[in-house]
Amino acid sequence: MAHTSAFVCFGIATALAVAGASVHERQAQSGAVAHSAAVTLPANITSLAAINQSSSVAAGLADGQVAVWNGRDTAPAVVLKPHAARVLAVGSTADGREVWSVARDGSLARTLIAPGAQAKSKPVDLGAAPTRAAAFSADGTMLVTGGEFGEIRVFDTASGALRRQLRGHRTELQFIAVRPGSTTVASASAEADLRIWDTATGREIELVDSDLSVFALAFSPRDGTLASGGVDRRLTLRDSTTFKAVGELALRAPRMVATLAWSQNGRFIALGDIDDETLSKGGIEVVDATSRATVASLDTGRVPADALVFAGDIGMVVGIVGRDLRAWSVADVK
Amino acid sequence: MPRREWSRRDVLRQCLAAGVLVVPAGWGEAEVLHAWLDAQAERQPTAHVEMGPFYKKRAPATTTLRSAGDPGMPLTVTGRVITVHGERVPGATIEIWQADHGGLYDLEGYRYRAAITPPASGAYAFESIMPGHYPARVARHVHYFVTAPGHKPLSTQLYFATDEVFDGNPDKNYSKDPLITSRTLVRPVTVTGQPGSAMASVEFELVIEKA
Repeated sequence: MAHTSAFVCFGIATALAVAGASVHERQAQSGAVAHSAAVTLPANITSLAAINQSSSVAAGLADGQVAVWNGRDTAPAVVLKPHAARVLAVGSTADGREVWSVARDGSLARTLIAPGAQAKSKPVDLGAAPTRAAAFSADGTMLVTGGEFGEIRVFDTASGALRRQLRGHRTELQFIAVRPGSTTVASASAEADLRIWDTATGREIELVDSDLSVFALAFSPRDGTLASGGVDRRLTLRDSTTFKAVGELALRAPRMVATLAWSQNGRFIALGDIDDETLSKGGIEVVDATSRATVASLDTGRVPADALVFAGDIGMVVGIVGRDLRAWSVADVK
Repeated sequence: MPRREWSRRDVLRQCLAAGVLVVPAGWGEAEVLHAWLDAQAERQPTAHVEMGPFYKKRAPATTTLRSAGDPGMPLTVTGRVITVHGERVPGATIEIWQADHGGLYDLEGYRYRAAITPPASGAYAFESIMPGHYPARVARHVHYFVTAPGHKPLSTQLYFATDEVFDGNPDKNYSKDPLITSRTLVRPVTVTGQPGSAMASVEFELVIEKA
């Protein structure tokens, strides 16, 4: 599943620039798991996705490149150049041999993961408004984008055809997530509205009313439980059918939920937080989805993670931390 | 033969002479002129700015955001909500939120948050303080979210020409804050009173479009 957060792309980038925070800063946190590997990429990282059938991840970059990294080496395995513009989201084909990517200029690309591979690219109509959030389905067959004024667009990646335009949000999209193996999509906009859609029918299934904005959404690969969080300083787990809250984990101020990822087995959630006072400090916890107990804290040097994924079936969390991709081995979550 | 330059007042007089204007009884020439100019002048809609992360629903219906003793320069904002054709907008709601003097947003409660329902005239006003600098943003600002039946929602932000980040030259420096999408959003500030008890006032017109 691809993760592109408007909040991540705009808010944190601004915060780091303003606060002058060093992305390489590392301050040991008591008891926290240090990253086992890291790689610095040639441009800002805009998006991240686990590659199917693999323990590698794909990272989209601001200069149109896509890097593939195995979470162990000091350099990416492959750096592809499918686009001439900022990458909005990345994903992979079901067999994990190719990466999907979409860029701000409306180019949708499918590229073999191999050195020097040429992208098969086609244009998609992202609309006139700037795209603020985008995600591929887990199998790469569907692309969903969300714009500055709330419109959601659903594309068939094989043809590039625009299948649906979903209207309900009125403000900039903060995040979009696609439920694996399903046509269900969750979307959150700045107006503090979380909406659930069936992209097969174009129908809005549920409107979850809240007071504060949601930045992060992730569906459990196992049973479709929806994890959400944001300014309300709370991880909320929602039933996959009713979308009623079935579990919560409260964070202490000034921490907010910035990014979320489920492990492949649906047992654990990686939660990246960020402070509301400066938008420049944060950390990562791995949480047991059933007990909501923290099973590991991951050291980021107090730099907030922009996006997180669990890589394959192994106990590895990969996150965007400034210009780095970092990997943490977390044996307990295998 | 030299061409005669027609003033707007001349045009209005010609229109009145031709009987093409229907005006309410009791209106003087100046009021008719003002209304006519309002109706004729097509305005640009107020520039859109993203809402950002800290909008909060269900803000209280109040026009007094500051409390006695609040730190920060007292600020009065006035304006009106109109369409691009200068028409009134029935049923408009203006939601406002800003950081406190220290640059922080209240996420637990509703400090410096309000929902205002302007009367039929579209005029609005509120009493607040000059917002502090939020650490993750360059310029001081007040968020607005304006909604009205039959009109496009407007998300925008009010900025202050006196903000030190503009170095006294907002024309040149407004883009120091990458989120300021238009110079028109940086408004002149009138400061009155003695140092230590100075008060700021700003006018900010909100022009929205039909859906």
